[in-house]
Amino acid sequence: MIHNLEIAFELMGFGMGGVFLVLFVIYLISKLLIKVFPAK
Amino acid sequence: METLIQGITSITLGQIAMMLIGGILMYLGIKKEYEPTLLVPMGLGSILVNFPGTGVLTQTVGGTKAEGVLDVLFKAGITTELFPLLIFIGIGAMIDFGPLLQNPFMLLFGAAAQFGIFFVIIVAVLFGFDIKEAASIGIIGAADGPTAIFVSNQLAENLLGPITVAAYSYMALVPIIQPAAIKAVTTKKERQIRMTYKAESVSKQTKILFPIIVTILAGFIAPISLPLVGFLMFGNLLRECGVLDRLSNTAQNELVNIVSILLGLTISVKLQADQFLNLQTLMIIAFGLVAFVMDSIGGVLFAKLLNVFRKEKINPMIGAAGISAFPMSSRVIQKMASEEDPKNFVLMYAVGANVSGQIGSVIAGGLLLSFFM
Repeated sequence: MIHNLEIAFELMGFGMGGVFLVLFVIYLISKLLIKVFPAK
Repeated sequence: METLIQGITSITLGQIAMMLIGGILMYLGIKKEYEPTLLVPMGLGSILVNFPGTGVLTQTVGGTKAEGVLDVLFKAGITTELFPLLIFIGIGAMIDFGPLLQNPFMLLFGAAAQFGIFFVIIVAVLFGFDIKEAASIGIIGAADGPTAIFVSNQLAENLLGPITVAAYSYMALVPIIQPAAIKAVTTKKERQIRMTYKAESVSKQTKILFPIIVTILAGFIAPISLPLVGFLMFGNLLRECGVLDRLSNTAQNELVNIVSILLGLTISVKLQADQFLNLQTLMIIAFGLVAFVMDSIGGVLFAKLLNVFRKEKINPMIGAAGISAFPMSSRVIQKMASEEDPKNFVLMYAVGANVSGQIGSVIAGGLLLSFFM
């Protein structure tokens, strides 16, 4: 169980870090798109 | 005569209990209107699969194997992941990313509110589940039925039945779960925070390019998530490109309706008494609730953390809208805000966070799969 617990904590870091990273990149892309293609 | 009463004499208490559970699922769907699209077919399906020797499941009669229709559908639509993915095209066509693109900052709440997934993985491991089973249970916290089915089918197919029931039941119970969770971690003063609505204007090009770029990004970061993200974004591209309205309407209506009928019935293959009625199922149902609660708390606490550094404060309830249950969650947040202050209007921010949760949940599902693959 200890081994599985270690993997679970690793998964917490990987998962939350990964989701934040991807959504932050999408945030930057969204800002860029809005700037490059402004609404008329 | 013996043959005629064999069905009655050979039925087990477990099978009767599963039929009653099927009845409850149908009651919740029909009377309470909790996710009826899935709960009604699953409810009747639960009755269909629990008759001894039922013809909807594969049976061997006199040495001859007779394929059951639900087993055939299961192999064709769930084992291959086809049904959840087709539903994703429809969901993508239904999503308007406009409110999110007007306030891209809301994207971060779609990440924070996935906390329940990973929290529950740890809890499930502590209760003795192996890591893949724990990850499948955690995905209930994605608050997204098709993602839960897609991920759990790959990581722990044996738990697919209870995970699906929990995922859809709690999605329907968001209006009850979220207010309690939010109130537990916020003060009345925090819930009364007003937010001035500022929105970027969004051009057509931006709306068209957004799903394409997100697909490419997902492909580079977690290619295993591409079926989820790609199909979702394909549906959205149909909606936004402006030249495929007919296909977009079909995806939003006929496609989703047909696949939902098949998905609900097919999932009931996993609602057979000998597979469903055990302690594991009870634990999964309990952990599902924990996942939804911790999603909400994770989102709220993240918003409170941001408020420490921000001049213009965010109503922390917006953080809880970062789950995928759309549009229930954003409605719940607006209702709670109005109860605290009738002139507080936070709906558009909540919708932005809620739409972000739809992206966040598929990304989280994809990352879980890529971790194990």
